[in-house]
Amino acid sequence: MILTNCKEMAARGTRGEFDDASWFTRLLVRAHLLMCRHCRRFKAQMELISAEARQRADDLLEPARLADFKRKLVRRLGR
Amino acid sequence: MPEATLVENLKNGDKKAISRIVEQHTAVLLRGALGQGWSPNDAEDLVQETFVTLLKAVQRFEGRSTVRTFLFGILYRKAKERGRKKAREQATDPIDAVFERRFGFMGQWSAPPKGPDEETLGRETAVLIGDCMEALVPAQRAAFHLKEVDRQDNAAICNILDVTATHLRVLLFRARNNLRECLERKWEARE
Repeated sequence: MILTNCKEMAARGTRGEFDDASWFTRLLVRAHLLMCRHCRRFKAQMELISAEARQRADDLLEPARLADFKRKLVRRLGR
Repeated sequence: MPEATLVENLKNGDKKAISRIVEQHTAVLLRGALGQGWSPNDAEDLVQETFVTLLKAVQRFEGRSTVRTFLFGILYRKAKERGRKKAREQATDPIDAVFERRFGFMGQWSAPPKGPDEETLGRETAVLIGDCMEALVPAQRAAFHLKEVDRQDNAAICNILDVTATHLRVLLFRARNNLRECLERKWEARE
């Protein structure tokens, strides 16, 4: 399928339809990104959001509390 | 130790197998519960309930999914039961109309994305993203977390959340665009 416009790029990209796309589709995506700075910005922002969400998830775990919780869990579950 | 052996040992009530399963999966489950907005105490309760349910159900575990997928399935069902009184997922989401308004009739950007571009993307986003995540409805948040934070594949996520592949794509579309729109408003407010 030919990627005709920015809306299709953004919609299909955020639905995750390019994750396992064919090499030809990936080539079309790359070509569109080369030509369109708005789509490049959109994509970069999406990648930033994912990276920051991963970082935030790691920050929410406190190592000492996690270790303590694991010990308690093993005790409770092993009864 | 292969997972099948670990499951067999769990079925036999082996305490070492319990320790191992707790060691392997507690952090990711806890991260999943915290990522859904549960407090640390509630998140720990949910994870404990998840393991208790696993041990009760392990005799019926046939290995059609991985233990991790099975555990996440239990966790999200428990979280859903607890959060049942909260707003349910809507058939439509305002983000669908917001997304449409971004584009002209030929599908070109009519309101291009604002905020930092790829050369100036900064770490300040980490501070802002927490509020935006909390504003997502639970199903979108769960789909986004499983896909982007835990990097599970689509088949496993569909299994965990009990949704079709098409519904998962809708959830991801809405989650990602809601997050970006929310961040754009925050970036603009800072300028």
